[in-house]
Amino acid sequence: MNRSINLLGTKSQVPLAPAPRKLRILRLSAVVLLFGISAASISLFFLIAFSPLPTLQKQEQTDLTTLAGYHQNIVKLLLINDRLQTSALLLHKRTNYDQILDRLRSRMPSGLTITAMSMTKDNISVTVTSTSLALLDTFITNLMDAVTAKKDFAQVTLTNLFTESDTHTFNLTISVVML
Amino acid sequence: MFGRTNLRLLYYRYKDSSSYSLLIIAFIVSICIILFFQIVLPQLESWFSIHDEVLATRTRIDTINQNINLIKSIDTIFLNNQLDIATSALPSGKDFGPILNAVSDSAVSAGVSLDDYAFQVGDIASISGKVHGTTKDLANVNFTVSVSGSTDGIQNFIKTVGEKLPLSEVTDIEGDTRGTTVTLQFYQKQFPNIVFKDDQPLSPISSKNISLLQQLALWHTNQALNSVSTDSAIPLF
Repeated sequence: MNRSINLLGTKSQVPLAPAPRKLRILRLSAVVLLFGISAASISLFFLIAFSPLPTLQKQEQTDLTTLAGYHQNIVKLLLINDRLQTSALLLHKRTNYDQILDRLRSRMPSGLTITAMSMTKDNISVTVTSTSLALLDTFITNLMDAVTAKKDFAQVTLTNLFTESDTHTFNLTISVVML
Repeated sequence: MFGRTNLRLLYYRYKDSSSYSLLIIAFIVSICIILFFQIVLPQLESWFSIHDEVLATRTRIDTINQNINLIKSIDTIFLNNQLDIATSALPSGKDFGPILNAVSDSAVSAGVSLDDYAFQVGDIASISGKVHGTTKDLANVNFTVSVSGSTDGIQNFIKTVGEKLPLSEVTDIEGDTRGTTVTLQFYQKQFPNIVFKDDQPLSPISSKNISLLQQLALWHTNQALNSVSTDSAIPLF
């Protein structure tokens, strides 16, 4: 009878030995992990709660309001920049025919006169007149020297040379290609 | 089957066993995993996004403050003058008065006379009036003028007209002993639609553009002085 009322039973006794060391380590690790996760969560919560973002957003709004007061001047500044950029481009791209004429005339000996000229972006042609062929020769030589020296002119072409018998003048027409 | 008494019995039976400990550890680890994915990870993402937003806001504030400082440092009257000069150089519309003034003043300065002139106006809305390849939204007026004078005079005229506002370009010169025809192209540019974002950094007028502005201002002043001095002169046209 005594045996039948034994609550602990006799069949399979679970060993009551203390948990092995590995198990204790595992248990400790689990607890540490739980604490770690909780700590990280709390830290992140505080980091988010005390972030400087709302203050910065307020400051941004204040600065934007201040800047709005200067919008007219900003537009003017942008317009000036836009116009100056275009003006600079136009000034840079335009052909300075006065300088071309200057370069041609600087190589003309005295006694030569320009009687005709035709200047476009693609073609620059000048007719000079003189009573002396030698002066025309000097002019051509000067131009050829400039082409050889690769100064100002890339190419010089003699287009026409004729004489006007009634005035006893020689007319020389040349086309030049600028460097 | 799993009544309270049974569970208690099971607890007492297994509480010191390794299975019970493993079960508890597995439960804690599961909780940790759930917490990590459900709370920590979203918090971390949120923190990173807030951090990025803080950095972006700081950059925007810096830019806005720089813009405020820059625009505060520019005098409004000075800015208006600069805009006037820049607009005189490149007007927004086809205004023929300044064009005629520029040509007339140049002729007077160069000592040549103007015989005849013709305008060729391209339509701003069509392709023909626009200059392509140079810059966008640029319209032009072609102005052909017959000039009488010496070669020096013609050369001076070409040089002087290039230093007048509005800006122009000599596109064609045809001349002989009877006279010279000069074709000029005057440019116009409509005011662009300015879209300014507050956090976009404003760039001040560059040193290169300041030099150009000074050059244009000088041409503008000379032109104004010439206009005053030639007001009483006989009109050329």
